[in-house]
Amino acid sequence: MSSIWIYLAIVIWFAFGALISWQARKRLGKGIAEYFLANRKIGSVIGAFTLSTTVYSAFMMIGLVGLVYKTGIGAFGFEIVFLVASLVLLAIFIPRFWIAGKKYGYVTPAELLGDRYQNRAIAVIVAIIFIVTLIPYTSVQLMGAGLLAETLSGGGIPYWLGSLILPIIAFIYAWWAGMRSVAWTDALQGTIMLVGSLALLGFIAIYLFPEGMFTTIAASFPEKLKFTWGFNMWLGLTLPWIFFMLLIPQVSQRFFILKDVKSIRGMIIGFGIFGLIYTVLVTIFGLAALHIVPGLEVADQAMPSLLSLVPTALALTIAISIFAASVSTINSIVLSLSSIVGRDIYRALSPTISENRELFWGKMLIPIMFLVAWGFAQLKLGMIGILSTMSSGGLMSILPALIGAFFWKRGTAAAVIASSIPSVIVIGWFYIAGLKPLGIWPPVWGLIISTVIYVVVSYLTRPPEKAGEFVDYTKNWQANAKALKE
Amino acid sequence: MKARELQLILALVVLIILTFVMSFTVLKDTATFGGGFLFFLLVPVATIIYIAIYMTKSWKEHLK
Repeated sequence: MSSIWIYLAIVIWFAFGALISWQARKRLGKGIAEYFLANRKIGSVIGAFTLSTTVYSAFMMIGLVGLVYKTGIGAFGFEIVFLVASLVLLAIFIPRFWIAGKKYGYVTPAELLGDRYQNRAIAVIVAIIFIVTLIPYTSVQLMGAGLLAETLSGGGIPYWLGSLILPIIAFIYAWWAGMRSVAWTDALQGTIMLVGSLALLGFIAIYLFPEGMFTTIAASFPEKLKFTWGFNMWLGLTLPWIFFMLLIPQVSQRFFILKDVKSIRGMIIGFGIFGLIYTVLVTIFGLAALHIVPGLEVADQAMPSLLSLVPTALALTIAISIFAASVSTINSIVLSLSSIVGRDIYRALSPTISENRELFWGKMLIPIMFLVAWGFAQLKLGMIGILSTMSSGGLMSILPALIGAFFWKRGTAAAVIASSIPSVIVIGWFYIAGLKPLGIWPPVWGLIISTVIYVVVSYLTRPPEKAGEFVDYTKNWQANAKALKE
Repeated sequence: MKARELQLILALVVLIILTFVMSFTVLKDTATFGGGFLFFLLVPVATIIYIAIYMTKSWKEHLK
């Protein structure tokens, strides 16, 4: 496909997003909560779209399609376990995050942990863990975009340039009007993702599988319809994914942005429906690619190769839908990380800092984060799916601290510090060295280590005075929401 | 944690165990779309319906 078509499609798509972002800019008020949380006024529909598109990224159309291509139906099961667990955890945790945000004015999840445990160092440590683990995750999005642009254009758009265009677009959306702009443009990106995928499904079903897709695949690749994953792979990939929604800050920060309980319900149901449709479509594409482009050595090339066989207009639509998935994820990550640096790191170093100054430094970090992620993407490390899981795996180190914050009054600051640091080091070390002691994957070891240390040290140290108040307040969120409303 | 939330967690645990058991037994040998694909499709559909009912009933005071 000619590079000109791709550039033209990107310009048109960007123009629509910029128009929406401009509208958001007109409504931008003053202050940190306004910029980073849209003043906690987001409703059901936008909430559902921004959550869904932040979670479902280029990983789906490139990484998961590749994983289905390589490992068959097991990848679908893995993604479904993620969706089901997420829905249940969202119904329990969103109201607690939301009410805590309303009551104590939290802007970031690291700030919540630091305040609950009454220790500023915790906010700093968690912020650093977020930054370290999210750089590879952001770069995964850029890798997907670079790979796709290069393949579709037949090398006309080099990988480095393809992976640079998206961060520039995402930077503009995020920088211009913060969360409101990001959330509104996410609704556009989500619509493009669904429309593009449905169009591809229609084309594949009608033109590439005239005798019936399911029958053809069941006959040609029966082994891909069997569950062939090993237990340790299943556990190692699924476990961090189950808790992904709670641990990734750009997701958990969205729990603060909703305006009321109706919006919480709408966000959760909307996310469930979006996630189900998108996951099913992506799985079908992975299975279809087995028949249409068999024998690929690099599984992540399945979707780009598939697109090289469909009409130009459709291929462009799908490519834009994948770019949309990437942009909606990376602008959320960078916006979230910049708020975390401003609030949790800069404020810790300079406690008397004004809100304007904090906002200034937070925004300054946005382009720097994009550049670092782009640089990391140039290394082209590993399979996209595995790299994404590695990022969420590193965050398993803070899971006991997060659950304990809401449900265990005994949990202490010393326990959080003592458990999260060694755990994240072990997870990172095992991943980098390729270690899987007893065949068990790094995130599982990380979770075991952090849980044991967190519980033992909590029993040996004194919990902060605020612990009881915080746990009770968030537990009784319904009564407190009513009181706040009145 | 409240009783209804515990029920929700219990339902999640049951679903994950069911998915795990099915994956490593029946679905290991079933190469049809009526096998793994259909099973993995029905699990989230059931969950979405269950969660929607749970939220509507448990949070009804706030949804008026």
